[in-house]
Amino acid sequence: MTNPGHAPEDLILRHATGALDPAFSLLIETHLAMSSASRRLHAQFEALGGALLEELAPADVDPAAWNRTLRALDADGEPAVDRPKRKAAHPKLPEGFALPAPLASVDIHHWRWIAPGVRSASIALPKHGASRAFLLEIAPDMTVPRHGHVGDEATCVLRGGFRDRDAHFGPGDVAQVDEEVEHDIVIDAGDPCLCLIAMEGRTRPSSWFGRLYQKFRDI
Amino acid sequence: MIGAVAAQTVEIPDRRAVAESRLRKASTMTLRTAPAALSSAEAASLIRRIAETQDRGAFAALFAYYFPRVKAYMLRVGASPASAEEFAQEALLRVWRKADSFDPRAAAASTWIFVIARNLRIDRLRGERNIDGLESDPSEEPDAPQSGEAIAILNERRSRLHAALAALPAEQARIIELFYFEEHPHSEIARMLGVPLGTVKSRVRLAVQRLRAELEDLGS
Repeated sequence: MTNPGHAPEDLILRHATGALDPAFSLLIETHLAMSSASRRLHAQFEALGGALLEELAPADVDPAAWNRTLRALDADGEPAVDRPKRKAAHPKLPEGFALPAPLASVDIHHWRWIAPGVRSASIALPKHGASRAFLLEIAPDMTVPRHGHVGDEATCVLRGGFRDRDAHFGPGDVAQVDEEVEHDIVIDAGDPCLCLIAMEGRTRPSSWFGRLYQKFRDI
Repeated sequence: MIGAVAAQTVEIPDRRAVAESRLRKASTMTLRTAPAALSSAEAASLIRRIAETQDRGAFAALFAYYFPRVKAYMLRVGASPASAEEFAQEALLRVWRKADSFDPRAAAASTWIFVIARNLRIDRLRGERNIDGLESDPSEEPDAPQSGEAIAILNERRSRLHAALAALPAEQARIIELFYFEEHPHSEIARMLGVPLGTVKSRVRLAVQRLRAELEDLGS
């Protein structure tokens, strides 16, 4: 389904190593839910983690560790009954469109008007991350200026698509900004383009969605 | 160690006495040094015994191999020695509690335990996380006994993985290692290679592509 050229291999690796913060983790988990090829790569990276774990020189262990672990095990009561999960809150989504599972389980705020044809909905994430995540929906056929910095942000297409110079991004594809050239991207005709965006930093988004978002958010 | 445990059993209630007796029995299986190797098939069968019969002997064998390695991992990713010990204990407890969700056809035991340790690192070193990642839902897994063939595939997959790591050029292997064990791999890699941060990305991409070629067919 997804374009193999648009799999964010470095982010998939960093997710497998545990290095991503909640916003980028959510983006990668959403991408993985939409791409079996990336799930396979992710499984390979996790298997590599297992191999590296085995190759680590064993640490010295407190001789009491085993007995302490058994005591902790005995102190376990009955397994806690899983509380039924509260249904996550979501904004109104297109008819017949279902969020991929990782996104469906998080709270997403109401749509906010950003500009004509553009709206966004921020996603509630644990506070400790340095990045944030939000949905962005852009009307079909719109042209949006793009200008970015390395590593600032990643965009996962959920529905619809867009063209970024020679490349087309459709559902499941991830676009990363990796140069500082300003150019236009063009949203596909037909449906609006719905994207999940993860962005580093809280105050100074620098790329196209970010600048757009910042420019209009306080109106 | 066994004597100390026995001394404590004197004044404790019956329920505890039973637990302590089980503990004494299992204690005799503690190994003083970490074993050098544990095959995938052996590890998988130990986890299965834990899931099916809460076999503490199996847990002891798994503990002896993995506790020192999970502790080493926690130390490498920045935990203090005391926390590393505590995190390793929690990781092994999770292995015990979640043994029935382990699917040997989906991942090797080492992979499954790495994922447990990694998630613990994320939870504990960075605060609570409410997204549980990609742990498989046991209810979705078909239930099938492990065949001799499946065991052979697992063993082969694992040895190929170690071979793939060994086949990487030293610089690329080091880059991969930094990714798994450093909090800020990009700046570490820049320092190591003596190149600007901006150049790191292409080097990393090269290492990942090379590794990917080595790993083809290994994913499940």
